[in-house]
Amino acid sequence: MNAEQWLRQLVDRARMETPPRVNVADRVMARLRGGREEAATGWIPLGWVTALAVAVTIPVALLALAAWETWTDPLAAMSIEIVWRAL
Amino acid sequence: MPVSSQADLEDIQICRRGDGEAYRRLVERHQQRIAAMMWRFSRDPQTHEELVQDVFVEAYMSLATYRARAPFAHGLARIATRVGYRFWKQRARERSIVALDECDELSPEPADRIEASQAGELLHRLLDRLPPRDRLVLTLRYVQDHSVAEVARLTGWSRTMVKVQTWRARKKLNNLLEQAWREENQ
Repeated sequence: MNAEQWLRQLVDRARMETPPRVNVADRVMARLRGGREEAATGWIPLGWVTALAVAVTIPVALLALAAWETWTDPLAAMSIEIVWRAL
Repeated sequence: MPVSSQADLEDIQICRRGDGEAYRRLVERHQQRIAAMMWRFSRDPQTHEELVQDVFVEAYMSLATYRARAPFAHGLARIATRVGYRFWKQRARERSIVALDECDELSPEPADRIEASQAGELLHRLLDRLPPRDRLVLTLRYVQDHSVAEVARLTGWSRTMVKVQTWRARKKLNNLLEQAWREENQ
């Protein structure tokens, strides 16, 4: 008997095997639920970080704008110049 | 053009509307067929069950893009092939190869007397010696008895590619077996 024939017989026998029965429905559903919760909770810390960053950025930007306007105001610049010369 | 079975289509539509129980019904309807397929990829009960789960989790992820041009079972078989092949490729990178001479039944005596489960185990170990690509094409063509066209559909390869790959893999397997027999006779 050559290898080819032997393999054919082996494959024929192997095909007669009954594979084990499984019941994966509960586990699949649990994994899908877990994935959804993970996906949903994954956004929560990111949302907090974004809100905090916005809360800090807006007052800093307003203060910076006010400071810029003060420093570039000609009257303020003249007053500062006078004060420096007086000193 | 083939269409999905009515029950599958209905459950897919219900599932897309957010009813998880519909997907459970799909899993229950197809799990034994997928289990039989995945048994060719792993004979370890725990790994086998995990692979079956992986197939259904991946199938769920692709439900949004499912267009019902082919039966749901066909799409599932493609995903199962992809999951199994990926598993073999990962294992091929990690494993140490089991020596062929550890297979007790590897003698040139007619194989038709071997018990079916033993034959399955022996064939699994024999194919395990081949690279994943060769193993996949032989498993689909001969063990699962798919036509060239079906293997092409399941793997995404061209028909010519399937034929060439099958021919090469068969030759490798025959050589491997003949070498094992020669070593046994020495």
